Amino acid sequence: MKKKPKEQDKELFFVQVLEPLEVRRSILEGLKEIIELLQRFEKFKHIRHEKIAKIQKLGILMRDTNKLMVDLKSRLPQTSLKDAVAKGQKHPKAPSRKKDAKQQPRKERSELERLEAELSAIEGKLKSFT
Amino acid sequence: MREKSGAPVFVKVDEYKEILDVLDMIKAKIGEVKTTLAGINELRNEEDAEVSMWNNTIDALEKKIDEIDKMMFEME
Repeated sequence: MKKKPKEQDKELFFVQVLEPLEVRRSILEGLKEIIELLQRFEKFKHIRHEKIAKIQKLGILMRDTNKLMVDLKSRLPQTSLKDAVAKGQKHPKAPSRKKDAKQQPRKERSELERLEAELSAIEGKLKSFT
Repeated sequence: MREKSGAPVFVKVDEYKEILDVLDMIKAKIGEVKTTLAGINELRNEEDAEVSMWNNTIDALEKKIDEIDKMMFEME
């Protein structure tokens, strides 16, 4: 048992680091770069949060604009409707709008579905102008 | 306001004023939207610049590690 440390000493071998200062310097520089990278990551996270907040604000603004557009539309005379009635050609399109309206209360539609329905209604109205 | 069919369309004066007000509000909202979009664009550019800097830093770090690797295994 007493001989064991001596045996271990025999087994130990070392490799010389030729430029230890250079290696240390490189390691420290690498560490510095990693820390700077982490600092920039924090900055990046802050930018992303800011961007998300701005995107949310954009969504609110777009919804407000949409409401104002609907308001504007309601204030303007319903000329296309009168025109359609006068021509007597656009009657088949009216029930389809009613169908859309009937489908609405069936179940709560997502915002995307609601916008799609709104878009198709507008497209339908635009077609009636041509 | 005159339709394509030729029939003139009239709007009451008070309603006309309200329409102008709504139009002003829409214009203001569009201005806000444009400002917000410019902000988002700026932030996106900052993000891109950051990612680009990360790439540069990682490349530099990789070179450094390679140097250390060479130094450690350099033979006399």
